[in-house]
Amino acid sequence: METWLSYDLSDLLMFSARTYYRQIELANAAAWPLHVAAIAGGLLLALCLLKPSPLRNRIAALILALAWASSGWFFIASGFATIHWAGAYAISLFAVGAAFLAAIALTSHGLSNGDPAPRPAWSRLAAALTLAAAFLYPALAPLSGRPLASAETFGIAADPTALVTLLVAALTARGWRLLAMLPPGLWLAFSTSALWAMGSAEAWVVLAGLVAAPVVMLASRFTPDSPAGASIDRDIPRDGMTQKLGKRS
Amino acid sequence: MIERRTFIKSATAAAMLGVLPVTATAIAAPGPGTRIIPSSGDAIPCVGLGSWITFNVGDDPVLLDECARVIGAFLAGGGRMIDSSPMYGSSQATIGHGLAAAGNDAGNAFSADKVWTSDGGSGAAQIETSRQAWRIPRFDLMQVHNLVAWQDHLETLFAMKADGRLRYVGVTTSHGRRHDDLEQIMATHPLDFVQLTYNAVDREAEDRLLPLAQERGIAVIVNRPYQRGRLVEAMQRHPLPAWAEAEAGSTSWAQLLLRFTVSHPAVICAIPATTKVEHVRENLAAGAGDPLDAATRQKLANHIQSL
Repeated sequence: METWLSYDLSDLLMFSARTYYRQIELANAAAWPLHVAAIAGGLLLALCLLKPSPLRNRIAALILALAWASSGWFFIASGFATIHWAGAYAISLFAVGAAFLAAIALTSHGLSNGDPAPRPAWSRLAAALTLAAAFLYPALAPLSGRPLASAETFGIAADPTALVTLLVAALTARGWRLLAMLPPGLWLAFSTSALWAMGSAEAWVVLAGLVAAPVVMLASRFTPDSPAGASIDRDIPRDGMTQKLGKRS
Repeated sequence: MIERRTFIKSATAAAMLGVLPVTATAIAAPGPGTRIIPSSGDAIPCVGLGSWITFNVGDDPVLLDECARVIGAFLAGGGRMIDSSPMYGSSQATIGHGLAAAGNDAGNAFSADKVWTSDGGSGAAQIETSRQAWRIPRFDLMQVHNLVAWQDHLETLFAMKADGRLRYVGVTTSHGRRHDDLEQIMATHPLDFVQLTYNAVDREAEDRLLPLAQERGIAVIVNRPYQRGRLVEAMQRHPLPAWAEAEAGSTSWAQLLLRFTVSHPAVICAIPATTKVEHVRENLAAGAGDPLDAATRQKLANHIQSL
């Protein structure tokens, strides 16, 4: 422990920015043309969040589970694990994350536990954040002066996948399903430090998502007019009524 | 504790009896750019090649070939010591790739690696894994990385050396960490090498460790001679001193800084890491020529401090 404490952030980085983004290029090359499916998955996820229902909540969890499995394979296991000694831990993290989301998808209400859906405003925010993370995140590569081949895509690269998962779980998950925030939170905490040590401006984007997640989670539940606050009301009908309650204002 | 004198006597006797295999590694001819390893009398070029971060490129075929070109240029330019560690990700395998691509020049490499595991009993297995990654018959130098489980690992390494499976034994630290512990180990164990951080601004080692190394006949390898490039970047904001070329034979800040480090009498080799062939050549050129004298080194240190 004493030895570990003597290392600073840059000591634990182990790889250069060039090597890191080359691994993303290689992951993109290996995954192509799965990007088309990933984009379709992102759109479908946003749609499910915009119009929540028990079935759509399950589909959302399933899409996220597939995204974790895919990015865990194409980027973490095939790329990141070859350049960092903690790669085996990251593989486990993505496997656990994918399995947990798949387990949530098997439950009758998906990410929701049957309590009323979030207000439409929060649903729209979840959908917008998903679209932003899934479709604007890849633009960071050319904006940072990197080739488009190293663009990070939801479902292929780890950071946008974890960001979408964290924010969606923060806004929609209920009860024990909130544990779905843990794997993306852990990855993004590591990623922030790695990007920071690499001198990458994307560290700010990842950090912003990491900080925003608990804020929007609390705001979506405890704002005065939030129906989520009413979820403790046991008289509120569930399941089929969730959609209607979600539209109540 | 094993005394150096006792060990050298035993090793010499063993070698005479044919117990120790003759080293397969070529020995450099003594010259201006070389230093003598005290425990063996062998000469080695004073500029080596580190692998921290730069050679950790995974399975990327493009970057692997880039690194192979760096290793090839280093060996073709007369460089010998290449240093790595199991902590450095895929760096060991990258070196193995580079050595395989270097052809006959690979035989000139002086292989320096480290054992890095907190489990003292698994050191030998880790060393074997590292050896396979390097694709070499055996290591020249094995060091205990950052003093992790150093008691157990030193026991393993001295046993390997006694068996002829290793030529030299060392201990490393970096960033100025645990100098007190390192000093104690240097004073009480017959080390061939120590590795530490030393450059024109990180000069703590000058106080006790470097003099002790000279006194004990321990060769010093220097890591972070450029502070992972930060020192060169910082200095390049300033003009090169007017006296740099005439008095220190240096045409760039990188050369001047490296010449400072390798000119300390205790230092055998500095191991800057790079991904660029032109930097390898510049580094090797900095090592050539006579060492700077103490007055010139102090002049440089004072100049940097004044910036």
